[in-house]
Amino acid sequence: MKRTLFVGLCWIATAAWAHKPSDSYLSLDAGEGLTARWDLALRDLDQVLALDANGDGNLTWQEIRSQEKRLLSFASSGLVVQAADGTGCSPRYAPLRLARHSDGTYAVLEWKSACPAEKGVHVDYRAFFNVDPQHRGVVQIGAADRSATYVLSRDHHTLDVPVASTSAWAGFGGMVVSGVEHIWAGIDHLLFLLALLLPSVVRRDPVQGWVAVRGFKSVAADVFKIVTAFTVAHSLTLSASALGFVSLPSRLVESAIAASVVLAAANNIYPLLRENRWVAALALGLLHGFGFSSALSDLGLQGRALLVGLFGFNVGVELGQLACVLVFLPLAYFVRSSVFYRRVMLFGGSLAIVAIASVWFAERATLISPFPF
Amino acid sequence: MASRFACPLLVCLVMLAALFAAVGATRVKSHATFLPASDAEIVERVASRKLDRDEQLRQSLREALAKDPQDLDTALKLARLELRQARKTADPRHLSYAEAALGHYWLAPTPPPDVQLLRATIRQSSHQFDEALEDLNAVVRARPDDAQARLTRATVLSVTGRDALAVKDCEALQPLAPAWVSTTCTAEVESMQGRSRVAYARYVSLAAREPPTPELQAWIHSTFAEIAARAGDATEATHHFTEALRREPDDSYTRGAYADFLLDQHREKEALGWVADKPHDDGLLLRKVLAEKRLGMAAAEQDTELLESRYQASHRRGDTVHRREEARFALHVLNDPRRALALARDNWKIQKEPWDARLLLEAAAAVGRPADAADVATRIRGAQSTDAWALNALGDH
Repeated sequence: MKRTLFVGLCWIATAAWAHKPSDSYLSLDAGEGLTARWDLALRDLDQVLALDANGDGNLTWQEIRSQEKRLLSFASSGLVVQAADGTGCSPRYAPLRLARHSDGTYAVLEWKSACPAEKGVHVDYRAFFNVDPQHRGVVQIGAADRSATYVLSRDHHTLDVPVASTSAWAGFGGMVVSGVEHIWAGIDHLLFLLALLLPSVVRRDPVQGWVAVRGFKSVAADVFKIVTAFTVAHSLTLSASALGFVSLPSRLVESAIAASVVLAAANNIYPLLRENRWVAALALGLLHGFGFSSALSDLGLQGRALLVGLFGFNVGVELGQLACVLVFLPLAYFVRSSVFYRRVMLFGGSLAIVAIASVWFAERATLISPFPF
Repeated sequence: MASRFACPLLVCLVMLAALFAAVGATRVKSHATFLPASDAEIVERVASRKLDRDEQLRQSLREALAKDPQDLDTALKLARLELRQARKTADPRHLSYAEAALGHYWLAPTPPPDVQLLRATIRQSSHQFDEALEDLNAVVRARPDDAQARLTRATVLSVTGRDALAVKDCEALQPLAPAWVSTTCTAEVESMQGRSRVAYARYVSLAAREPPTPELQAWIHSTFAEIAARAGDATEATHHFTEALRREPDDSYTRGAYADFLLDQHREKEALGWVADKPHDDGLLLRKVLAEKRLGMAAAEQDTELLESRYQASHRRGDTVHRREEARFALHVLNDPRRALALARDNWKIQKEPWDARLLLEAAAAVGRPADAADVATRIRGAQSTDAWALNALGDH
């Protein structure tokens, strides 16, 4: 029995690959009929069609052009696009061109078809799967700045989608949920808000100390001002940061956020601002917006899709925040007269927040060079 | 009083609107098409059918398989060659070609053990560790004397943090393969557990009875280089890395590991020398950017954008295999520890090697939430690791 040991294979477990596996990129848009563009990697085409005629490893433009017919025939057999009503959107290809992608040079096929694509398209993608099961067809439906992306694979190779109604708003719901998740995971942001809101249901009387506020209306007005100020401030900086206009060092931002929580809570013990806590919410809230923006950078959205995504995320953050406020407010209002609220919640709670946030500040600010290398 | 409140609010809202308008007007980046200037222009490099013997061999096997798809021997031969090429070039397409070579055998729930072993190897390369272990367990049950299966299983068990079981498989190799195989396997696993210096001292001389081929010699040197690097023994690490690269200078994995070691030693210029000539290799490009950033070189910005575009392209197709590299990128290049922490946490769920532990600890420390890496810290302290990387990473806590 042969015992050839491919010991080197054991390395593959966690080695970083030199590049991603094989993809092709298809974009379909409906205007008057269908406009399509399909980018296929020359490496993949060579694997299947042996475009490198002299086999020297250098694929020249001449070698590609001389096989254009075979290339187009391959493409036609690997992709079927029809309008939703079954009308074929048969390609009449424009002359072949090339494009450079992050992982190599691609052949670009472009065509228009008179099929009624506005109602929707049916795509059946089959190229390359028989030699490359991990190949993916990345399909973009709709115009570049308000499109939806689908990934087709050997096991899921068909797509039925409307084209015209695909808008950037398709991802809106998901972004709202993402925003809610982020604010609920951001304890420092929630504690900042809580610290500012704790005194909303009481006021300082020169004689009696902390006294419950009489009417719900004034409580509501105070809470409204603080929450709105915080919202506007962090929306502004979140947008500025997510859209790339401002970029602050992360350690600075994180430390400053921790410091803002300390200040907000300390203000309840040694009050500097009483009626005008919304000013603190506005000024310090600017810092908090920077803390959220990394969530959006991963998605690679652009143009209108980015704006809609940002708006959705922001809405999510505000809804999540509102949910917390709506839980806190009635509870605080009902117990506002009690000693428990004044001593434990307001005073004790503020002390606790100062302590926690001070630890955060110390950790975040004193890291001059935290990394071993 | 209302106007005192409303005014600054209004200013903010106007600024917000202006921001949105500015972005709405920006154009979207696209891949512009072009025509080459001349027919003779070389537009892509591919495998050479004329000059590359390995490629010729693979091609002839493909043709034979196309004529007779049921020919298991040819399928196995081709799959093994594709895997070897994947390892050599760090090109994941060859993994996929290997899968294609196995044809309909791939989809069978219990294929022949030879196929199952290759299927496990391919799956573990795309981090499907649980599925790979299922296959490997079946192969070992069917063929307890299969050294390759045990060795591969030891690797997967070690990567997923089941070191005690991995050691058992390494020890089981003793009667089944040359001594240096079992020795190197055991040394690696013990190093992963945090006893790198002990493992090095104990096993390096045994492993020094070198195996026949330069490829295998390079593997041993590379393994002990990493063990010495984890221990913090710079001289030994440098020696073994140099020896490994002398035999296999183009090995992407070893180059990357050496660059990491050199970066840790603050020998950035040397690190750059090992990675600068291969910008198309994402793993090496990451180390290039890290070195350039440290040296304050102008090229860092451009290379950062390039690497970012590669990761974006990977996301578009739904891949998640390089969270470790992306976490490093986010932490040390983009200075975005929150993103790094999210990536490092997701990465840790799948794999638990020292690098994964280190990244999670560093990211958590950078965000100021060391509690997020508490289980990692506990694990390292529980193992009583004396490795330099572990002591450094824990030092922040």
